[in-house]
Amino acid sequence: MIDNVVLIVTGTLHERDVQELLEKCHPLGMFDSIATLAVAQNMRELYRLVLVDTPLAPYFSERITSEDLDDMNIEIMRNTLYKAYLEDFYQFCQKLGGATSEIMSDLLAFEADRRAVNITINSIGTELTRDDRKKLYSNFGLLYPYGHEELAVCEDIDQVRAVMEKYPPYQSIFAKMSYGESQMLDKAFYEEEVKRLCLAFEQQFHYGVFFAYMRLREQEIRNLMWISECVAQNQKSRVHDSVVFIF
Amino acid sequence: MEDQDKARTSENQLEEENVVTFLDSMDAYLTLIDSLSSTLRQGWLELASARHSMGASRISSSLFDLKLHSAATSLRVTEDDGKYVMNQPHFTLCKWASSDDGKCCSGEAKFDGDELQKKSVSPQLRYRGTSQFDEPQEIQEKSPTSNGSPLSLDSPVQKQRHKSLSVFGTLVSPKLRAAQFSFETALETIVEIANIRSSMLSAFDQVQKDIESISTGEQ
Repeated sequence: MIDNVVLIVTGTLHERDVQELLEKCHPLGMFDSIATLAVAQNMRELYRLVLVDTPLAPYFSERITSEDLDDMNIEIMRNTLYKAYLEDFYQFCQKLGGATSEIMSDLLAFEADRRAVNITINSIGTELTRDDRKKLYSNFGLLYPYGHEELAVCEDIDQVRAVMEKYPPYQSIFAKMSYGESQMLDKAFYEEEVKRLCLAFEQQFHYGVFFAYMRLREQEIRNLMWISECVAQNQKSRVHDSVVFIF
Repeated sequence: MEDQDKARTSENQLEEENVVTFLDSMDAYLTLIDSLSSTLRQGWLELASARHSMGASRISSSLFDLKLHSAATSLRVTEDDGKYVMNQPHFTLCKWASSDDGKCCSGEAKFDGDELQKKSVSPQLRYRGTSQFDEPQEIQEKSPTSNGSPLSLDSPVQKQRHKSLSVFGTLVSPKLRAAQFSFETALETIVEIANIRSSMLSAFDQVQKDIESISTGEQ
């Protein structure tokens, strides 16, 4: 739903046809008044006119500004909403307790840490300030809070590596990459995620298996998309660059 | 008699030079074509990799900006007096230029036909798949993913680069920036190809004329 909202708002900003954008939206994230998003000029209107009646409403803070929706603000909105959703999901799983809480906490903590690393790397060399970057990190996970403090001031990939190598679960991920390289980082994170998702099926009588099933299916889709791209571009030798084997 | 021999010898030398020039320019053309092909392949794969990393919804044609805005890069075509042919077209790429002031910010890839011929005549080993020619004399732009060193937003070129990528969001994957850089390099190579093709065709015309004059002389 967050991706759909951002797609509509971004596409409207770029003067795209709303119907064309609606066709690209994910069906699981659709809601009735989604087309009305095209009318909003700033975040306050976005919330007041449309999102107040959707499940995303609680994720908007009380400090919504009337700043116009531009590329930077939309990006911050996307990441802020996703951060709030992740934290809400984490607290919900904690309340469930038992094996579900144990397994889901591990999976969501990994997701939060991966997001923090990706936000850091993607924001290197952009106009995003250190404070704004830190605000986008989730308030849980292995890296919270000291790792986040260090990631917020990183200015290149090697500094990110230096921070992450202090945490044993991520040492093996960054050990696969050579210095200065970030191309294989996504694949390394996907492999680690798949490993953890597969472990969710080792325990019984918990709800984490449903989440793990969905995420593994998404990984399958990513694999198929990547293989299709390599075939379409006649670069079959590059298939193994990004395919992650499951089970 | 001696004068005639000398004249004939110098004519023969000139004809040979023309043939060598034509062959050199053709070799350069083929090398650039090869280089362009590999650069484009790399760029498309990097784009696919970025889409794989960020998600298909974040990198799609539905996010392209349809608002009216000035072109980030333009091509200037002039007509130079070439070595052999008058009004030989010459192409100049003006990267990341603002059309308001008509000036190029930087990265102008200008290749003079004479420079190309000088380089092609000099005895060098040639390797397929890489461009023989020097990088543009203006600012050398470092690859965004070369060694993880921070990008400076101070340069207007970097700002323009980020601005053009902002249609996909502000926080984009380094793979997308690498794809942008590859396509930028491909664009420069295309302009080089256009210039070298222009020189090659003019050299070919000259060789044709030499052949015709020889066959006329024999008759």
